[in-house]
Amino acid sequence: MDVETWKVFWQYVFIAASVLFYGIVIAVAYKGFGDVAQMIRNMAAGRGASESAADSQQE
Amino acid sequence: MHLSWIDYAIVLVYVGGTIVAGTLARGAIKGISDFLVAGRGLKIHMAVATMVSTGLGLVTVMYMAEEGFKYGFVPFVFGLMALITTVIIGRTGFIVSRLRHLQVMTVPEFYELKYTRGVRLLGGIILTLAGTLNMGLFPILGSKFVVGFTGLDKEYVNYVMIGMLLIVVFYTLMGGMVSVVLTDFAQFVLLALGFFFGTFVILNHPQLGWDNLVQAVQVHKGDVGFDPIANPGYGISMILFLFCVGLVGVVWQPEMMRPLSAESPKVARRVFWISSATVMGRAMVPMFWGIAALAYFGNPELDPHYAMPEMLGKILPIGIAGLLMAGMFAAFMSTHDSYLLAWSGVIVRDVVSPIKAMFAKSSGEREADGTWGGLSSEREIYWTRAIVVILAAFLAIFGALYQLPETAFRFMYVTGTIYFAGCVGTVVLGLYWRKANTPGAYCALILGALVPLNFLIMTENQHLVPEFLLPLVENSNLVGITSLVLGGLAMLVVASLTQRSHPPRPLDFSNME
Repeated sequence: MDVETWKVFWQYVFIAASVLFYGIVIAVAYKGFGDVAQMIRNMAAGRGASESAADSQQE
Repeated sequence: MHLSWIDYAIVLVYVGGTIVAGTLARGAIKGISDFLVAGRGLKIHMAVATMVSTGLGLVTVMYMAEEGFKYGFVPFVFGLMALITTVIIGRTGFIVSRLRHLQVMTVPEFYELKYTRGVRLLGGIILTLAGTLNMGLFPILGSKFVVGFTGLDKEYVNYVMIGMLLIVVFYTLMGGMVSVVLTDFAQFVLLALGFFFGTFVILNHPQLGWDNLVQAVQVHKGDVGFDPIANPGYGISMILFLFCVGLVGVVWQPEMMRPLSAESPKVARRVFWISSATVMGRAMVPMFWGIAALAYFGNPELDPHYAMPEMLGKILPIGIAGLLMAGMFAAFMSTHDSYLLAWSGVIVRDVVSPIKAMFAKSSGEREADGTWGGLSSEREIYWTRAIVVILAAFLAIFGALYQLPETAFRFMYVTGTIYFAGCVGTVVLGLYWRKANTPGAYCALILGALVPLNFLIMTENQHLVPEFLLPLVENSNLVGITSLVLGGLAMLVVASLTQRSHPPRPLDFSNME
C-alpha cells in the first residue's frame, strides 16, 4: 500500500475503533448497573461474595 | 497549575467514593476465593467492565501515547492485532474456557493439576518476577501524567506517586477482588467519558484536528509514520509478535482473573467476545492523543511522558479537565489494584503456600475452600494483604530509580514475555496437547524466560555480549519472537523424549460448557 492509502486506512480504522468502543461502553454500563446495585445490596447485608454467587446461580 | 478548583473537586469526590466502596467491600470477604476471584460470581457485564478497566490503566494510556508520539500512526497496528486475537479467543474460548472449567484461581495452579507442585512453584516464581518487573513502571508513569496534566513542578513526581499508591493499597487491602470489581465499574464509565471528551476537544481544536495530526506525522516522521511494514521499529517481526502475544497474553494473571472470576466457562468466553470490540479503541485513542501532543508542540525531542498530559491540561476546558483527571486517576487505580492483587495472590498461593505444603508433606490435593494443604484460607488472605504492601513499596522504589532502555511499551512487552514464553509450552500445549509433561514444562518455563531476562540485563552491558548474539540485546521484537518459539519448542522436544519416564497427567474436559 502507498502512504496515501495508509492515511485513509488509519482514519477509517480509528473511526471504527471509536464506534465499537463507545458502543460497548454504553451497552455494558447500562446492563451492568443492576449487577453492581445487587452487589452493593449483598455487601450491605453482610453476605460473602461466594454466598451471593451461589444464591445467584440457584436463581 | 492548569486546573481549577472545580476540576480538583471532581477528583476528590471520586477518590472519596472509592475509599467508601473499598471499606464496604470488606464485609463481603469470608474466604480466599471471595478475596481473589470475588466468589466466582461475576456476571457478563460486570466482568467485561472490570476487564476493560484493568486492560486500560493510566500506564496503558501513557505508553500507548508514547508510541503514538514516537512512531505516528504505525502503532495503530497493535489495536488491529489485539482485535483479531480477542475475537479468536472470544469465538473459540482458546485457553480461557478450559482454565475456567478447571476452577483454578491462578495460572500456576493449573501447573499443579497438570504437572507437579515443583512446576507450580517455578511457574509462580517466574510469573512473580515477570509481573513485578512489568509493573515496575506503572506508578511513575501514572505520576508523570498527573504532574504533566496539572502543571505541578516535576520535582514532586515521586511524592505524587507515593500518595496515589497509598490510596490504591488501602482499598485493595480492604475488599480484595470485590472492591476491585466495584471500583472498576465506576472507572469504566469515567474513563470512557474522559476518552470521549478528550478526543472530541482534540478533533475540534484549531491547532489540531485530524488533518493537522496527519500533517505533523508526515513532517516529523515521514512515510514510515504511516506504514507499519516499512517502519524499522515495527515491521513484520513486531506484527507477528503482537499476534502471538495477543493469543498467549490471555494467561497474564491480572487479565485472566476476570474470566476465572466469571460464573461459568461460557460466561468467561463471552467476556472476551464482548470486550474484543473495545480493544482497538483502548489502544488507538491514547495513541491518537500522543500524535496530538506531537502536533501541538511540534517538537519530537520532548519527553512524551510529559508532552501528552501537558497538552491535555492546556486544551481541555474546566470541568472536562476534572472529569478526565478523575478518569485517569481511576485508570491508575483500576490497573494497580488488579495487578497488586494478582501478583500477591500468585506469590502467596503459588510460591509461599506450596513451600509450606511441601514442608508439611501434605497430599497435594485441592481442598473444599480452594487451598492446597499449605496455608489456611485465612492465612492466605493475611499474607496476600501483607504482600500487597511489600509490592507497593517495591514499585515506589523501582519507579523512582529505573531508567528505560527503550520505550515503556517495549519494556512492558519484554517483561511480560519472561512469562508468556513459558506459557506457550506449559499452558497452551498443556491444555491442548496430551503429551505435555513435567520435564517439558520445566524446560519451557526456563528457556522461555532466559531470552527476555538476558535482554533486560545485558542491554546495560552490551560490551560483554558476543557479536553474533547482539541482535538479542538490541532488538526487542526479535527477543519476543525468539522466546515464544523457544518456550513452545522446549515442551514439544523434551516431552516427546520423556513420555515413558514421565507419563503425562490427563485432564478431563468432557463435561465443559
